[in-house]
Amino acid sequence: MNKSQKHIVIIEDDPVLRELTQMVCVMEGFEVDMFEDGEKGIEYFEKNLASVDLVLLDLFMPVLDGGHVLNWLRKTCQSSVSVVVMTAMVDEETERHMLSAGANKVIKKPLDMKILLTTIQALLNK
Amino acid sequence: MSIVTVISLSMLFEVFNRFDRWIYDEATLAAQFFDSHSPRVLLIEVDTDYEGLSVNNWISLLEQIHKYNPRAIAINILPWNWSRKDINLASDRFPLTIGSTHPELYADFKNIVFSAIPPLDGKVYRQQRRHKFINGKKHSVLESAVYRQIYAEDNAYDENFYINFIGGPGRLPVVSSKRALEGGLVEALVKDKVVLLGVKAPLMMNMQSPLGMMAYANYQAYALDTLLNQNVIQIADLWVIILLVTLLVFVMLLAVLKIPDRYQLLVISGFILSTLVVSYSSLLFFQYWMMTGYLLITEFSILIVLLFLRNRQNHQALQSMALNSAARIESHWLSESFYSSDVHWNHIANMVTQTLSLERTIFLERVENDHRVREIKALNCSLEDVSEMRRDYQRTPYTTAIEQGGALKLKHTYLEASDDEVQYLVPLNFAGNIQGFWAFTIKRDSQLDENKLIDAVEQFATQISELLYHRAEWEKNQQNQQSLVVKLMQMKFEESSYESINRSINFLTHRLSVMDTLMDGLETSAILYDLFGRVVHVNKSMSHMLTDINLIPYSMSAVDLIVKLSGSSMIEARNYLSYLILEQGFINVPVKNDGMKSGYMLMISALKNTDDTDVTDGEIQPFEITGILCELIDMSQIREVYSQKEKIVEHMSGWLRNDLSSILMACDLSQDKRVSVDKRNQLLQIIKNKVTEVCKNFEQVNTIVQQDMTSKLTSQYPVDYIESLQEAIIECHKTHNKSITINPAIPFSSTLVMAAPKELRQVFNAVIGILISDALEGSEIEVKIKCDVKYMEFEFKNHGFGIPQDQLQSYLESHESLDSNEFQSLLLASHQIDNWGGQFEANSEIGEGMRFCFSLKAFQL
Repeated sequence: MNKSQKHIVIIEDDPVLRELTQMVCVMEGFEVDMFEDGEKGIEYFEKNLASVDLVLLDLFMPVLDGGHVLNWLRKTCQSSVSVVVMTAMVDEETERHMLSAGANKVIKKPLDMKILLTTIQALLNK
Repeated sequence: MSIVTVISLSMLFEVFNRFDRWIYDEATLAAQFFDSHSPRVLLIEVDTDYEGLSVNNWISLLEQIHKYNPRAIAINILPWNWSRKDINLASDRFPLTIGSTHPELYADFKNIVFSAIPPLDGKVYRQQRRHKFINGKKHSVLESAVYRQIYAEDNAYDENFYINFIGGPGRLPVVSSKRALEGGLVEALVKDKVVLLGVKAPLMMNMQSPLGMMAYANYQAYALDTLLNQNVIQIADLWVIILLVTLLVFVMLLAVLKIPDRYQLLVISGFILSTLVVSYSSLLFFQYWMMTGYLLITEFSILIVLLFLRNRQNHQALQSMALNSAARIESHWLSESFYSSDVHWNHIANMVTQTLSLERTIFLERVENDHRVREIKALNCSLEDVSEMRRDYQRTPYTTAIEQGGALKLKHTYLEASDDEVQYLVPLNFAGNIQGFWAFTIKRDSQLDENKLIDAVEQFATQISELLYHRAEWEKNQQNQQSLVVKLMQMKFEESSYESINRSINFLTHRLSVMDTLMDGLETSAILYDLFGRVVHVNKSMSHMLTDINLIPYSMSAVDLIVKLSGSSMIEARNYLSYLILEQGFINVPVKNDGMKSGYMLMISALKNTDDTDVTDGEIQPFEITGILCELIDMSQIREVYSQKEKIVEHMSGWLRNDLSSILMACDLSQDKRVSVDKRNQLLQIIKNKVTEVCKNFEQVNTIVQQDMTSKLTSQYPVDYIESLQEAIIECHKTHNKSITINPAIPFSSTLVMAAPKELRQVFNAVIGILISDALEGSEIEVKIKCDVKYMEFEFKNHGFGIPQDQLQSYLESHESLDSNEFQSLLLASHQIDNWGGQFEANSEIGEGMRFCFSLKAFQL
């Protein structure tokens, strides 16, 4: 698999975590774009969705939360884009809710780099 | 002096005498059906108008009588038509004694005696005399003469003897002369009896006796019968009376001294009753009159004196007690240091000025015996700022303020102040008396709610009035300590005990009403019992709660209350109280009553006497407990507080996980060999920064969690809006019975806003309530919630009738109370949002509906 061709979008409101996640992905050879809230993410998707392979989506965000972005994505492109929801919520109900809404994977924070990369690779290799 | 004494004593004696005679008459009358002896006299009433009663008829009558062998015959008054010859004739033939008012004219007749005719003076006659001296010669009275004729000796009674009327008017047989002449007499009536022929001459008028009005002939018949039966009523001698009275006084006083107060009246009443019974029995059976009137007057006098002394003693004890209490109470509130110094008034003036955001304040007191006011303390003004004309408290604006009985907003200038200040005058009233006035100004554009300001001012005024009152009392006391000469010069004398007690009572009444207000103002529902479980006080909240579940507070003991509210058994409830009283602890029992909502706790605590002087070895004795306080504590509020704190901690956990993600990821990256040294250093810096940030966040959360969220001073703290919103929706659905759908879309974001849970619920209630009222039946109310970085925005929109935008805006800009409760709540909600640092916006269009948007500060770490 040519990693440089894979395009990941990170939507996370915490700037430090956003930068660190981007760093991890870039080191693995992915093309990365990142946004601070769901509204900006959707704006980007409206024009560039076809080029996106995977979305790392934070659930709790101001302006427009991850739940709204997930709904939009699933309405717009069905299942062509993999979505990994990252959440600090630890309850199973939220996880079930996200999976039923179309998330491919729900990762609980704090994020472990290896788990994150394994998840990304698994989804991109599907 | 001695004459006065003699007259007084005579009058007194006459009073005694009259009372005794009255009692005697009543006793005699009461004995009229008592038959103690057989009559020895037959009375034949001779009607002188009877045509046939000529001298011959008289002789015939005497013959009729004589043939039945009477013991003697007497005519009470010499018949007018008898000549001396007739007298001789009759005397020769019959054993006749004749009475006359002028026996001296018939000195040659041995059987003509004096017949005593009493003067017609309306008196009650009880006695008959034995002799009469006429021209120095002693004449026997008819009754005594007959007695002597029968017994051949004089009777041994007193010169004036008491006639025995016992047996009443029917005791003596009476026959008319007409019947006797017609042969109506029988031997049984006449034989061995003394027959008295009683002439009913016009001269012989009726007279008053103990048995009522009777003819004189009857009176004489009773007197004659009394002598013949030898049952004259004996009257107790003076020395006997004195002895009896002395004995009675002695015994009664002894009894009174030895017998408890509550039995004294009973004992004296017993003495009086016994005297009546003994006297009456003595009269009936022994024909002895004990001068009962004297004894009764003595007893009544002792009773009155005793009551008077007891009353006086009680009064003195009460007065002494009241004065002692008054002095004790006074010592509590007349703290010299407080009133002698000006410092405290400075504090008071500063406190009210700062608390109520006043511009100027002046406290004025009434000048005694004058109608002007005097300055006590002023801040940012002085009495000089009040024109001379407006310092008379018997004029406006003082009189208007007094009439209003509270804070008066002044329309005309009182204090010299700037135009942008509003002036108020408050009368300072304590125990019904005006002690002074309080004038103050506030800025016209002050944000304070006027109603709340007036409430607070009136509460302060009550306290300040009391202080003023005590200050005046203190000053009065100071003046009382002046020399006697000065006092006399100023015509100032000691206040009466009445004034002193009245003052203390007023004070205590005031304190009691303050205590009532305090009890009613308690956050909890409280009921206070004394040590024996009886209700001492119930506050309004408890009273309402108990009434709601059909319990009557004053009819229940502490044990009953515990049983009813906690569902405990009688024995358990008693054990609780025993524990409280003996161990001086407190007990919390969950409330289990079907009528009450859950979440209440019954806290029972013992109130200990704080006077430590009686405590021995630190042990509590039962009577050091002064009462038992039962409080119903609403735990739901506490639960809500804990729930809010739990939410904060829950959110904190989310934030922490986010921060830990950064730290963990930075650690992982720093260990990756592909990362350059510079990058590694950056990653280490990131870790350091994050750790510092986490520590800071922890501290912030810790501070918030430790805050007293129930305190009214904490106006806002992180609150999860979801619960408030959901509760408001449910409540509004219940209140407005309309089919309206409300489905708020809750975003995935922090749900904490800076507010207060109860007030936030009220805000949602106000907004949703108005929208439901206005909405079309079956429509939906859209609720959109958007989370910005700093603010949480809420948008509520309905499809309804709407009102003109201008009207809605005027409601929201109003500075006065609105008639519509819904818009008043909306107005308050908008003010509340402003106070929390948010923004409120309202739109309405006729035919479209209404839309309300507001933002609240989001809580972010």
